[in-house]
Amino acid sequence: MRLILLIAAAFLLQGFVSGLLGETIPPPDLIYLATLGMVASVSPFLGLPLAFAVGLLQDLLSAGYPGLHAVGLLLSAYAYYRLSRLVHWDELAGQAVILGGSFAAKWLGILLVALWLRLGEFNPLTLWSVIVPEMVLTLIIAPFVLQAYRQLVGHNQ
Amino acid sequence: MSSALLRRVLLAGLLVLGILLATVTRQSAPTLPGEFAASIAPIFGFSFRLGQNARASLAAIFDRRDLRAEQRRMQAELQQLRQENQRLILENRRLQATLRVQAVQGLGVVAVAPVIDDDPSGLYRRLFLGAGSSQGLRVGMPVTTANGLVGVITEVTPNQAVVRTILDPESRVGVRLASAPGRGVAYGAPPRMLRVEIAPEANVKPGDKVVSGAIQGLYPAGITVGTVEQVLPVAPGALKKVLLVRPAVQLSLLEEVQVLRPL
Repeated sequence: MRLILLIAAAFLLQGFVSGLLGETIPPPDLIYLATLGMVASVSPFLGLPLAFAVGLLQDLLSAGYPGLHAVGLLLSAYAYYRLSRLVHWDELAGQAVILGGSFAAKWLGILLVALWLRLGEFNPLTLWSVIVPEMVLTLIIAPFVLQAYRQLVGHNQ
Repeated sequence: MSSALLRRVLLAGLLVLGILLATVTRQSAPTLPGEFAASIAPIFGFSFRLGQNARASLAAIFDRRDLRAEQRRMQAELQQLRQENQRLILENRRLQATLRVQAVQGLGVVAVAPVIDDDPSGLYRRLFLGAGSSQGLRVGMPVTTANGLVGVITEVTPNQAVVRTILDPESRVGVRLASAPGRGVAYGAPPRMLRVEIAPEANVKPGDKVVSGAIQGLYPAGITVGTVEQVLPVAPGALKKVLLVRPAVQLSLLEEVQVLRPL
């Protein structure tokens, strides 16, 4: 129940931030951060399907191609699990590696599906102006959001 | 089967599921998800509109702040322009007075000098000018305005000059009547009158104009000196007729004067 509320709050907050920032700045991906916070608190066997489900929900809510964000969040969750075993989260460099790698994996998944569906407009050359600001903003707020999430949920990684 | 392998199998399965889902629903996208999104859009659209309203509110606050800053800047600019306008009005008045002097009196103006002080003694009637030898002023230069004669420069320092006005008791001005024959001398009679001694045969009455008249004197001929206010009775056997003349220039109100080339 707590996870459902978390995801609902993330979607609501994402809508609020999108409306607040307007079209000038791509908003940070709060749904991605919420998914990371969520998968960090459960095992990969539950975390991967959950991330896939959240991505699917995001696709449906945004009237996009079902599977686009699902695969993106799935790969980001998998990257999170893998990288968390390689570097330590409590160090700043470790956080940068985990979050950066996970974020890159998300876009890799999205672009993979876009390539499969032959969606010409979905390619890094046209989307870099969205990807880069979104990544910067997301990575800047990520430690604070995840810390707040842990305090809220009461989970210690 | 190990845990790592299971994770990979799970990942691959979900990956394939996602790609298949995207492939299968591609023909119906965005209709199918659009219908779903439309049904729950009001819930999440609410937060989006909330964000938009917050943004509009912030924009209004910042716009208001910008407008206030702009208003302050424009007020400062307006104040500066008003001062500039005031300065230009004064300069225009000064230049017009100079032009009038040249047009009416046909004389060469050496300088336009500000009056910075009066003689405080009460005995003499002298003015102090805020210009001196550095501005080309010399002793003996006549001082005038568009309304009439003021006096003559008697002392000069690099940046100041003293003017002995026609009201000064030591002042002597050769005068004549503007509308009738008659030559005389105007003496200063403080505080505000001139005492003109003229030939007893001169036909003069109150209201007549008196102008400077000595061809070889200190002052150029034809500059208005004043207006006759009173003709004193001529005593039997007197050699001169005495007139009381009000100067054409109100010396106490002078702000600027024109200094002329000496004769």
